[in-house]
Amino acid sequence: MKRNSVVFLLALCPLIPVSSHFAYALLISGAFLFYFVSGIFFRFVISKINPGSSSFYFELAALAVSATFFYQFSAFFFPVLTVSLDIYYFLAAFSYVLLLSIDYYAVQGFSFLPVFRFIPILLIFSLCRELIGTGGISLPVMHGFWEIHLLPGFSVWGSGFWNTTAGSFILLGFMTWIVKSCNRYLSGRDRT
Amino acid sequence: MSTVHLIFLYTFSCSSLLLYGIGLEKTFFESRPRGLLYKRLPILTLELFVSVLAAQFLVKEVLIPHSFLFLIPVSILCIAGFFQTVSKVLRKDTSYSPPGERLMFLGSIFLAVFESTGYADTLLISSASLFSFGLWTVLLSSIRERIDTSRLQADWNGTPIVLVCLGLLSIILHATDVSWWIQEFVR
Repeated sequence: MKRNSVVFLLALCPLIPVSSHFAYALLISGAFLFYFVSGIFFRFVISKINPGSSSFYFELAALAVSATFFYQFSAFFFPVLTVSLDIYYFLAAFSYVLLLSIDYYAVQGFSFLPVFRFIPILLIFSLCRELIGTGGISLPVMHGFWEIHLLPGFSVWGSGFWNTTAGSFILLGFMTWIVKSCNRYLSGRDRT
Repeated sequence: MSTVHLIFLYTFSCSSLLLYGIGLEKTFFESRPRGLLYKRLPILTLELFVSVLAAQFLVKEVLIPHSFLFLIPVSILCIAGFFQTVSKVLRKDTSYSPPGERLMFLGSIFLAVFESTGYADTLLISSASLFSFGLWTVLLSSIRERIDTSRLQADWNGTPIVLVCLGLLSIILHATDVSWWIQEFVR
């Protein structure tokens, strides 16, 4: 339980700006997965070379190379979205969630990996935010977004506020409250 | 854009913390009672200024003229890592930087280099990032202190209410963009 809330908290940093569209969240989730797999691979390679105390810096450099590679890949297939996401591709490569996951994998294997909990949180949150804020969801395509309108009558009752930074904080606050309340209810029921 | 306007913009309405999410998790942790960043802030400021100037020089004078655009992010990361390592060696500090701080440091350098057009702008944007970070940490720790002594419903306590407060503060700071007297002031 404690771990869940910590992961939720750590997920905050990149969550707010890149979760305004579901399409962004999909690409960033792909980036996280790619960095995680390449991070594990590079850690294995670096441990074989055994550069001593500087191995941490070699790992960071390897993550930077992975980020550049993913950036080039994304710029080729999704050039419009990559313009908005460029800085986040590089920030994601050094995020706490990712580095912690690589460390946990080296020690415990697949038993607890924050990145696998962070990605669903990011996707669900961006989906809710875009749905409430725009009345639809967007998917990444080569020339930008492919927007699918799902909620009829959004122009009458909808509000774009939830798609702003302020709205996302308040929405995240409500979601955290719901998660806490549910956990408290479930733990109370288990005791009885 | 005037100096004051630039600092104002990157501290409040276009804050690196709120608009870009850079350093947000660090602010969240530092606003707790035992935050330690303020002790490290002078060193961090010095490292940031030296790194952004070096990164801006490399990008502006070498990488852009020779069309090595794909090398910009990696070279910024290498410069940031290099100056942090040099600083640690000079201070004989053997501890690792916390990841949240590293992210904030790198993010501020990226933002300053990507958004600026000259060396002065780079320094101003990185100063505004630090100022924004300090301001938000102070505001958030005051909010936490007030919440700790209030009789709030248990499920709202902690992260949920802090997030809602962040949202409300964000609305207040973005109000500078739409209020007529600020528009008159910066005109």
